[in-house]
Amino acid sequence: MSLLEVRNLRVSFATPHGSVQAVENFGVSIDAGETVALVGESGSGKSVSALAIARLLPTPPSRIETGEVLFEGRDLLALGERELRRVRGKELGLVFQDPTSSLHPLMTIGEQLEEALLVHERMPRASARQRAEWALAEVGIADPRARLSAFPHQLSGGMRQRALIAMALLTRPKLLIADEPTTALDVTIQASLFALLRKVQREHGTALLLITHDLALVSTFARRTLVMYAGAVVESGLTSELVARPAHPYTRALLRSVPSLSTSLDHALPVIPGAPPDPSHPALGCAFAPRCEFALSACHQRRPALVALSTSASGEAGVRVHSRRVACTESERTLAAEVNS
Amino acid sequence: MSALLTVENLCVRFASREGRTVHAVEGVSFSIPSGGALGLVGESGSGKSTTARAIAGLQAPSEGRVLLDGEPFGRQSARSARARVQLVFQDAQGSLDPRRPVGWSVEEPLALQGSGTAKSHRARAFAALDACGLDPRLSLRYPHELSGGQRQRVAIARALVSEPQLVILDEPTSALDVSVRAQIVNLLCDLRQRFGLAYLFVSHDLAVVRRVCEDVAVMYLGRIVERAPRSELFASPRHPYTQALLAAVPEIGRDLALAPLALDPASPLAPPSGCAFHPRCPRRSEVPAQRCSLELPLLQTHGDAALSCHLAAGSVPPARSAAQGSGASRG
Repeated sequence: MSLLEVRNLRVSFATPHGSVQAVENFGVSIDAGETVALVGESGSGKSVSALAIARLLPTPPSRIETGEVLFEGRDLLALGERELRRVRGKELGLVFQDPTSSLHPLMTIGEQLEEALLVHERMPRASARQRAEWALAEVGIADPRARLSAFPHQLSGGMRQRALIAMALLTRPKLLIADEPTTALDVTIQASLFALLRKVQREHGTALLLITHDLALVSTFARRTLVMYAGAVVESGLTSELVARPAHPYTRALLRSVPSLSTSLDHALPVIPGAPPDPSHPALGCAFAPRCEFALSACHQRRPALVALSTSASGEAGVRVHSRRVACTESERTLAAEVNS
Repeated sequence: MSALLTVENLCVRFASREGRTVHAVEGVSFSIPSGGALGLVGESGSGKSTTARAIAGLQAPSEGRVLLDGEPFGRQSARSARARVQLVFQDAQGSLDPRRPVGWSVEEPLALQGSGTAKSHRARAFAALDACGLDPRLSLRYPHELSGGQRQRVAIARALVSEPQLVILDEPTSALDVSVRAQIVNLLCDLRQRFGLAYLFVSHDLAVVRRVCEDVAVMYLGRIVERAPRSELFASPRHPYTQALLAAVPEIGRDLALAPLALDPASPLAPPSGCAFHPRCPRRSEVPAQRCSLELPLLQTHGDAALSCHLAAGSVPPARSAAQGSGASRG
């Protein structure tokens, strides 16, 4: 059984101009200790999906129309508020991009860390304080005892994000959901935070759902990747295979358009024309068709479903084989042949 | 060939609330030839944006001077001289008036300069929008009606309309989606060639800088620590900080060097003694007598490159291994 199994998730938002579909038919499964990435541009639905999984979307304006979020077999969407809070506080860790909005500005770092332990672990205050200090040391914060009495604004951006990760990991959650955890940070700090995440995952078997726009980061860190576009998953599979042989035209184009430190400068960067679509005006057919160089007339009429291309060629022993899936009418046959070759 | 822009010993210092002095920029010198492009890279707090703002005249330098075509340039310069330097920021939304159609914002600099007729202004605004890949009919739209990429194109058109010689770009692609970023990067390369523009390009995104600029200066806590043509800087970085920075950039098909530096950067409020990078430097033990923590290394020029590191001018071996990274496996 997977640690997390999300099926058929569908989320809409009420707007002054009517209901807007934000996420459609979203599914993902994550095994214990595994790292899965959700990649997409703004408006792709990646953050909405993550928030819906943690049931952190404000309802209204959002509405989870269909779906199941099975976390260790229990459907989080069916839990009452009290049970839900227990799961969120203890078994599910959450880290968001902007630590200033996730930390209480008027509480010290120590008070915020201790609170989780006092509430969820019913720990005596003294041992909670000790544990909080260890947690800060574990995420590489120098002089952790002094930092416990600091307020969030007294820490640097990198330090605040470390404190937030420490807080998310405090109760040893089985799954950590991290939404653009390092996007606002410098690359050297990003690298050290990912080193930290890897260490925690190794030591405690924590699974990670990483939400990001950064394909390059994903390619170095996540075992499996789901690429989202306009509210739907357009391609998924093992990261190494998806990056080496992208099947969906969007994944292909996106990979090519990322500037790199080593590719030739003789030619202009390949670009994807146009911009991501406006979710309030959904296309009838494939959402990427207007920007797709391979689009046929059929692509504009019918929205393609996410279908399995092939089972993964390099299924590791003892690991469930995840098939490569792609949502593309035109390419289903040709790309399937290519990926299998 | 004389330089278009010359920056000499630029220093910007602020007084902090606690009464201390923040050395945001210290002793920065460089020049950009006409039509050249210099990328200024570094992490937050490195002083790269403050340097750009001081050059643009938005921030008074505490020391040093800025010359444009050999003439002092700054807030006191005549409007016609200031029109030759234009700015593009990260957030186009913030530099366009939300209550005016974007065409008005593109024409505004011409109206402020006061020469020409309204009709000629409109024609030049249309030409600038067209050069930026926008249909001039979009000029009737309001900023909120445009996509992020379109707004950034408008902001670039607004900079171009005055026919500048130098455009200062501060993180112009950082707020954009991946697919749109590539479009703007290509546009900037294309415009530079077409109009013979010089760029001062401030960015934390090294791969984008590599695309746009043929020269790169790396800043750390207010100072330039290394400067080199891009062909040298990306292939064989010499300063240990440049090496760490490049190793930390995630690249498709390359393992990420997890934790190339053990510590976070020091605060610009309390810069370390000696070489400001020394507490994080993985190679400081190679320099005898704790020189790195005691003595500030000078920026020494060798041909068209410069380096500020006690690991001796010229004797720091280029660390290819650092650029290739190590250690990460997929989990």
